[in-house]
Amino acid sequence: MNTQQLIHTLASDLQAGAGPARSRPRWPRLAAMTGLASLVSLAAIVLLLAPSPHLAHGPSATIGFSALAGAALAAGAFWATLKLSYPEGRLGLGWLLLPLGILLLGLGLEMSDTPSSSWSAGLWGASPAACFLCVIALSLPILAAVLVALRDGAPTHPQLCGAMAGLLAGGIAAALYTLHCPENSLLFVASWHVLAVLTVTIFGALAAGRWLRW
Amino acid sequence: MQDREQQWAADMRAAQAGSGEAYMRLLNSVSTSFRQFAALDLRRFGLQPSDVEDVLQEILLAIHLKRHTWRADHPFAPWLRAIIRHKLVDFVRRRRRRGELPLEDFPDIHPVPPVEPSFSTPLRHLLGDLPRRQREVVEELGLGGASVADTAMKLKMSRGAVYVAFHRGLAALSARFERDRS
Repeated sequence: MNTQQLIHTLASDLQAGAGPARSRPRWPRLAAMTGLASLVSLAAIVLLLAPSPHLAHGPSATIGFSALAGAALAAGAFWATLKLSYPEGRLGLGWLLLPLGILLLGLGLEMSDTPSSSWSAGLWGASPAACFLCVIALSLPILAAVLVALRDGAPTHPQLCGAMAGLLAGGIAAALYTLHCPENSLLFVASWHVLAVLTVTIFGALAAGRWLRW
Repeated sequence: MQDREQQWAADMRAAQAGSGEAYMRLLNSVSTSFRQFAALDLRRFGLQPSDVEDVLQEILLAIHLKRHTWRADHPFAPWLRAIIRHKLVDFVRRRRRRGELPLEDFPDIHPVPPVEPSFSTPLRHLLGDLPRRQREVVEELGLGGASVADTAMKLKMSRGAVYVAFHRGLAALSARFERDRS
């Protein structure tokens, strides 16, 4: 097929009105898919897992800070994912300072409030592996939905875009998981939950490298 | 430069609204620019002059399939540049993976004069080496003469996927052809 023929074919295809021709804002679809999948993860927590014992008297500082950090991470990652889903999108990471700052602030408060002898117990908690795996499992439906929503995008850095999608999914899952997490230390959250989020980020990058190529 | 950006953006806006005429003007203009750029810069990427049209076609196809990702309130040139770079890198990477080296590295081998296409090489045999999807699409479209829409429906693929498979399939076939002949 020569190039001139191809151009003719493409133009007649355009006029046949095939495919998503018009430029629509991409965020509503991404937000809808993210929201729906988040509901799935939320339902799994509510239906399958016991509520956190620390919720009984209103959210504790641990829950508050980790939920807030997770939400800030998700919001920033949503924006970064959206941006990278356009061909000319570039990565910005400055927004990461917000969730990190929230987590570090909470961590500082907790460590100044508790004796250093209790830190080790707080860090290891009772169920590090279970929480690590739970956060990952809760992230996966969200990650899958985000990747599906990204398929009609055009990321020229698919791995980076997928990594941001992983941060988005991980941030939401970590925030939701505070509804269940039986641990009551930000040291625990900052290590195990963050480790889980980073793992999901790697999953996202690997999956996007395969599925978001075009 | 500024004029071209405005013309491209205006044509793309019209194309997104359904104007085939503006779309053809845009794609032709992009092709001309790409050929000029390629003539200067292709060696830097390790490509041969004969690759220019192949890469260009992949770029045009990508523009077509991703045209909804251009936002009318954004400049066109950066969007286009990003797509061109993406496709160029992709092309070079695939080429390297296949282990094909630029002809310039083999000064003693002379290019074979082009021969009229014939079907003396069993086409079916070559087709058999293509990935299944590409083979089906090339059979339907190229040999069977079916339309893109029918092929898409029959194979349960999107039209875009049919275009891509057809294009890739033809490119792979012609590469096989070349190799068998030399």
